[in-house]
Amino acid sequence: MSASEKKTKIAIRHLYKIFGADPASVLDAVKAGMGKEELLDTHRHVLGLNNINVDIKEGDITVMMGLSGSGKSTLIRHLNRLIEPTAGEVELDGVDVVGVNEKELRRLRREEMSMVFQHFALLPHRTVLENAGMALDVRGVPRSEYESEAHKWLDRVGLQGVGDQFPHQLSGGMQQRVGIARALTSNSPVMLMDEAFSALDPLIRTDMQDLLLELQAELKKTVVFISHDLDEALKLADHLVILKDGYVVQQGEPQDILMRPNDPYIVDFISDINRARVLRVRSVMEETDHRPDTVAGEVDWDDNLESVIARSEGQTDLTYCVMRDGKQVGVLKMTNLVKALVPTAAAEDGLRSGAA
Amino acid sequence: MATYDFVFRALGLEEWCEADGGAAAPMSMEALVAQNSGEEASTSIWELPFPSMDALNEACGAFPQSRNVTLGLENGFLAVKDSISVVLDPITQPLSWMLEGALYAILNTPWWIVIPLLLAIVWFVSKSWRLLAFVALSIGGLAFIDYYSYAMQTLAIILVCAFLCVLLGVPIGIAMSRSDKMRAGTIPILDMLQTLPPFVYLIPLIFLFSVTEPKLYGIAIILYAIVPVIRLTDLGIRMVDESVIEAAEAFGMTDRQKLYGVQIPLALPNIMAGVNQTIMMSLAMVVIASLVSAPGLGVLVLRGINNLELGVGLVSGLGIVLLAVMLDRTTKAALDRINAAQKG
Amino acid sequence: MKKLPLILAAGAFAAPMAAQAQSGECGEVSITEMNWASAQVVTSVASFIMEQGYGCDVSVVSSDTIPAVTSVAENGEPDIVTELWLNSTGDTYNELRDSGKVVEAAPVLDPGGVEGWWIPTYLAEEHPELTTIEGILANPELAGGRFYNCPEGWGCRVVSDNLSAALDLEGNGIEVFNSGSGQVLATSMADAVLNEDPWFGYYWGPTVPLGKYDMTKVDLGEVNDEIHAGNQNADNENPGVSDFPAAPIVTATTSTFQETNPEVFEFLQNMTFKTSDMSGVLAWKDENNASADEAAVYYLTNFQDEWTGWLSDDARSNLTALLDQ
Repeated sequence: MSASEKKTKIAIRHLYKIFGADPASVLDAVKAGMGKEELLDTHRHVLGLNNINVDIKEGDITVMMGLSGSGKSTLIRHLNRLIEPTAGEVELDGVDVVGVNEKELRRLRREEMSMVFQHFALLPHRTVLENAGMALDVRGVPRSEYESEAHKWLDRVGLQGVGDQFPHQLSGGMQQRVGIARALTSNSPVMLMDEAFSALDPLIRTDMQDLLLELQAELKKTVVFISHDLDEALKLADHLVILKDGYVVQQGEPQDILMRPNDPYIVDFISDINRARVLRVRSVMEETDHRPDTVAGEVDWDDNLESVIARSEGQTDLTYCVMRDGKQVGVLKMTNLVKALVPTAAAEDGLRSGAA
Repeated sequence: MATYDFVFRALGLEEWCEADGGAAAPMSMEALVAQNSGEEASTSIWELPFPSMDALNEACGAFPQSRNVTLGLENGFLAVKDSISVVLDPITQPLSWMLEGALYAILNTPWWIVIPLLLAIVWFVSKSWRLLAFVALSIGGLAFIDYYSYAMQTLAIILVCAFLCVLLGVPIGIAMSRSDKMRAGTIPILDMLQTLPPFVYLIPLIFLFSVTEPKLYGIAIILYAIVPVIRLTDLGIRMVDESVIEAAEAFGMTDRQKLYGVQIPLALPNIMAGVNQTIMMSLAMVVIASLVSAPGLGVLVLRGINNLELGVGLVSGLGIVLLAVMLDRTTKAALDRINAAQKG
Repeated sequence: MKKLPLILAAGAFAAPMAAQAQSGECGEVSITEMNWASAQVVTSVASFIMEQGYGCDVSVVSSDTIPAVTSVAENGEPDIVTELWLNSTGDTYNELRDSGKVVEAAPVLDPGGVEGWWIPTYLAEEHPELTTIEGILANPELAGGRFYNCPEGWGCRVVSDNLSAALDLEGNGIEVFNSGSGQVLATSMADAVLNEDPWFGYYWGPTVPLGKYDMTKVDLGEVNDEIHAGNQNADNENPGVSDFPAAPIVTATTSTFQETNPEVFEFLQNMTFKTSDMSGVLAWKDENNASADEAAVYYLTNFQDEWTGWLSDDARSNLTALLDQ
């Protein structure tokens, strides 16, 4: 896959987080395999993160997904050390964030990583412009100098002429645009987004997702995005990490996870989504450069299945050539396509109803 | 015969008791009445005294009486007061200078400068014509019935004390908001300051400082009035939206930047509410402060009470109310303007 | 003193109490208790004798001079006001007495209260010249350079204000400090004496502080009743110098009480404590950290010769158990 060629920007290694009076005392038990519930019952400690290992590639959108309580928000706060880990490393460009001193940590937060929050977390007593310029202001850049930069990014996220207003005068969607502008103004290579769109209306959420993808196409930042919404995760993710009870259940390319879920939990999770819209031709095709005799036409390898079904007008006996950059990379049989649309058998233990 | 003789007999302490039996307790009125009616102290279970120090002393002369506890406390205080006063006297001296200066300034500046100045301040913080008119009428009214200098003395004392309350209270509140330990240690003291009758600490204060020092009543007022500004500063900072604080941290703010750029501005409505309460409570202390020689309207209230000059008492009491309303409305107007700046 | 319910509950004392109640037809009597020590002792002694000797049902009303007099004027209650310092009761009392609503039974302290300007005795011994006002005016710095005046609203305040104007204290380099309250005045004296510092100010006796601290009265010159009367007026344009005369301290009752309880009234007419005895009791009270009740018991047990003379024969017989000891 393409991801393998990319440089690892952030490496999370054997990360543990235990909440409680004396986390160190129970760390060994957790490492030996004690689960979340047992830990709570026997030691009165809460297991937040359990042996997390994730490589976050430069220029990717890595989505961490899970239900509430899965530890995803805890995990993202370890990246800029808003929460201290109980054990493990978080390496940014090869430097362990856990080990750096206060001053260096502040530098990392100011220059290397910016953050966007679920509830926007703008400063209510400062204007939109001042909020957008906050990252620079914190670094000691005078207002006259950060103003133009802040204006630029406010314009870029679609907020012209509101610089002098206060956050509470804006709608939720507009406030989060300020939040994104604030993160962009800091000009940091890494952007951490904690359920950034969860508090927004569905329509606005879609707009914001599009905005993010559009910005990302241009800026190629390393984005870590937290979400509990699978549709959103699949739409944004280059790399998807699924968390449950503080451990990583499965991670990989989203198409891969959809086609080959390795855990009943994930099967359960993905059982409800519109597979035709999410799955791509490349995930279902047979890889070959041999052109069969009867071909109904050519499809792009990155088309989603929905568009292929529309073209086939419901006929299931057709075969298409799969093209990438004008070259044939495989064939797609409609029978295979239909098979791929059948959800992998849902798990029986009713995880979903329990978790919802 | 005393009820609890058997205790000391059982413990074999009779000798010790009798060895020092000379200092018998003064006879109580009940004992005298009983003696007159020719009855021994009752042994009825209804009359069983609680085994208090006094009851035990009756059985054993060497056992201390409860009055020895208060006496010991008194002697203890008198023994350490000199060393305390060596430390506290110089530290608190600026308070005396400030109060003396404020009183001198407000009384020796002509009224046609002081009144317009006060009105200008009211206008500056409130920008309300109605409030301005009310304050002008109130001060004018007090001056018209020759209460001007009393009212100004009270005002000067209140302003100095409230200023110092804010100066000391806000940092204490901030410290409390940052450390739960500090908070746990401070809250009982604040509770005590608010409920302890002021006279209880006023009299010891007289022993520490000369009664002629204005700081005596200054300290009394500050101790009582500082509580709300501390509490509300702590509360205000603790109530600042967690997510905003998290954002401030995520963008690498130092503690200092966080405090001045985020926490204090966002806690300001609460802090101002605390300042308002503090001013109100200083006014409530004016009469008590006059008992330790604070000048102003409180003296007139006391005179009214002592001489039963109902008119003087009522008018000066109303004068205090007028001052309270003026200060309250002015600080509330300032508070509203801060709120307006933050919320729309 | 209102132990009755508890005693009845015990049952043991019901009989003797009933017997006493029959011996007099006193009924309910209310008496003031002023908020200073000697008055509390007087009230406590009087209550004991009225209850035990005359079978009265005494209720004690905590009060202060002016409120007590006003209450009598307006409501005819309480029945007995004692330790009334006539120099601080004002016109209200004179009007009440002149109109016959109130009857002055007797001086309760003889020879009355001592008012004046005082310095600590150690200061007087060190600088004998300070025992006269001329000496103090000539050496203000030896006396601390400050005069501790009466609190606002006290009768002595007016007199002292007029005196300090007549003597020109401020002009002679003595700052006049107006005490905010009696507590401040007393504490300033206590503090000075404990530190052996100079102190110069107004005080009065018999009181605990004057019993407790060795003070010397400063001679202000002759007592001139006319000048003193003038000095009691706040608007006196020509204040003069006159020392404080002995202050008459009396027991007064309502005229109704005199009519309905002639026997008790007669007792009150006899009830006069010697000022020196009272000073002794107060000194004992302070030494022993005792309550006013205990001081009253001390007086009742140690000064029997004094108070037995106040009683009627019936009352004396009721108190025989105590007197025969």
